[in-house]
Amino acid sequence: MATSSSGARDNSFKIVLLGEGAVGKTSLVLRYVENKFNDKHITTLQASFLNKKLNIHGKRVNLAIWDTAGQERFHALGPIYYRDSNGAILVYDITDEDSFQKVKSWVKELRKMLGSDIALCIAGNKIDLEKDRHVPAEEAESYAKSVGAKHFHTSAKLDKGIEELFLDLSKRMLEKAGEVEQKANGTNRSTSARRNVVIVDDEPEQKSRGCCS
Amino acid sequence: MDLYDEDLSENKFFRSLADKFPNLFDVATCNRCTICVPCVGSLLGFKFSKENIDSHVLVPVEEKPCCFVTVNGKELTIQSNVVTRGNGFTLTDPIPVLFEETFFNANDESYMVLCIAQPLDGATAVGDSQSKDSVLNSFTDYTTFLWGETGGEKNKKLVDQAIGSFIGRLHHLERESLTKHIDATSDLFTKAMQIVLKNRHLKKPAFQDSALMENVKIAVEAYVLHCVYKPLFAGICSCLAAHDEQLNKITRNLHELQLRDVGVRLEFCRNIPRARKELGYLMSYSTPLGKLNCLKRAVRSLMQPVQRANQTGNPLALTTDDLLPMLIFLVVKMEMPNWWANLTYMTSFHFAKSSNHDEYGFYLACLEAALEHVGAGQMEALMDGVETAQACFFSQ
Ligand SMILES: Nc1nc2c(ncn2[C@@H]2O[C@H](COP(=O)(O)OP(=O)(O)OP(=O)(O)O)[C@@H](O)[C@H]2O)c(=O)[nH]1
Ligand SMILES: [Mg+2]
Repeated sequence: MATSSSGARDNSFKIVLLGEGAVGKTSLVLRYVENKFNDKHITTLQASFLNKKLNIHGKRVNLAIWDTAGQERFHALGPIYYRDSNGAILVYDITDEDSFQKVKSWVKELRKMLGSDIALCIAGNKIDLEKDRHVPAEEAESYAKSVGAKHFHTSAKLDKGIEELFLDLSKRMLEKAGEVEQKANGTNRSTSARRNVVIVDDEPEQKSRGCCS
Repeated sequence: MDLYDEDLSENKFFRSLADKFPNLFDVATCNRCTICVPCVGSLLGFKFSKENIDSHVLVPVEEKPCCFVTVNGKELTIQSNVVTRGNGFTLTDPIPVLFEETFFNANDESYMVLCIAQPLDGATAVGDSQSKDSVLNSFTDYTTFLWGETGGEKNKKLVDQAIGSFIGRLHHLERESLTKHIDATSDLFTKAMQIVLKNRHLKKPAFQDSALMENVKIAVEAYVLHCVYKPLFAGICSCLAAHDEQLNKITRNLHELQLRDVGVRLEFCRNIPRARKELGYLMSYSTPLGKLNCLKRAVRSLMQPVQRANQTGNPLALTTDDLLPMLIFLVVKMEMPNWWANLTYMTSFHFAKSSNHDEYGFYLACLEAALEHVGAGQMEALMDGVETAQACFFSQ
């Protein structure tokens, strides 16, 4: 049950992680939400669904981070996981050229299915293995640029670039949410993908106001 | 769902630190200190002095993971979401951490803010440690909450009338599209909400307090959907009959399926029986939220801590690749004749979504993925994917 008030400034965003097996998706998320105040040795780490609360200069953001199945046999189930997401992080391993090609095919699929509603980040992971790099940094960066994604160099092992990645993605999701809101106001409430039940308060001093999120 | 939340940037303690002690605030945030903020309900009688506020700004002690020292030199540890006060503090009873939120300084570097149940220092009165909320659990709770106040009787009659005419119309919807069922039910829910919010006792406060509004919505949904469950669910079942029949045909042929065939990791095998038992109660719930919580309990029991074979010290992470095979196994073995109808009821007939619905959304996606996978006849491919759990001790 809900506790206390959570104002209109709250934004809930869903982020999916996509990429080939063993590129480090799970490691990145676990590193990001790592709870420094909890004893890690007692419990199973829930790595499939994670929440993180951010407060970006007064704007509250609630991230729901979904780990997707990496095994090839589950590939067809992708859409069930990524639909309705506000952001996606496409991960490849800088030592593995194939994993970068896989990122390209994910980008194509996401753009086809979700259009430009979704904010994209590409993470070149395992930069601690720079000496074995097989994906040139410039190539990855210019590809990212060409598809309207932001590129980050990360290492889950050394905790490099991860916070920047999530912060940048969160800011861009906030921007997109702002645009949508403006458009909706302009056209007097546009249709939203998610089902909303709107309760209209008929008292004059309070303008009509949706109470559902 | 049951977690405490508040907007810390509106919290009086946080505001006081930021506005009245800007120097301390700057130093704390530039150095990425951890800040403890007592929850809003615990601040009654708190003295907003520099000294008391200093006690809430923490610097980590190097080489000692969970240890901190405050900027005025007091020592404490934070472990398993509990603050334990040490040298320098007068009181020593443990204080729970309610939640943590990551803030960013002017350079976009993060610092951690912990919302704690009561002040570490400077509390003069023992305040309410957490704002109290009515927790609604049973059908009786819902009815008392909705109809207990004056005027409740009249509103109940109006809602019951709406329910009656909805059930009357359902017969004409039978065999018709799912969308029509959803729209009709959504209309009924909206109508019931409008009736309930006519009540003077609820209307004003509910529009001012979003938590109360969420509770009203949950109560209305529970009441309404419980009343219409039998005929409505029968209608949903007939809309999804083709889907369910196809799934059932496949699962009937998979009677011999073993955990190792699906690739369930050995470490998680022994959690299966409990999850199976939990999920077995699914049909005994009549509301979407009741079923959702049942699903949540089942998935949570799959995530129970398991002893790691080799004690490497690394925590065992349960990923989506671990969760899916277990759910697939349960879907095959449970002999539930209407999985798709149940899933649809939880996804499309739950109108009173709370602000933290995401977790349910994830469990629903996993169940849907499992149904889809089994229904698409992926089982042969699935049996090829076995590398683990050869020696799984779980026996049917
Ligand atoms: N050197 C190095 N190894 C890493 C890094 N990130 C992950 N790994 C290792 O890469 C392997 C795979 O990591 P996971 O996080 O399980 O990868 P994943 O993408 O979740 O894999 P699937 O769930 O199978 O799709 C593990 O052995 C990790 O320890 C990194 O930044 N540097
Ligand atoms: Mg993984």
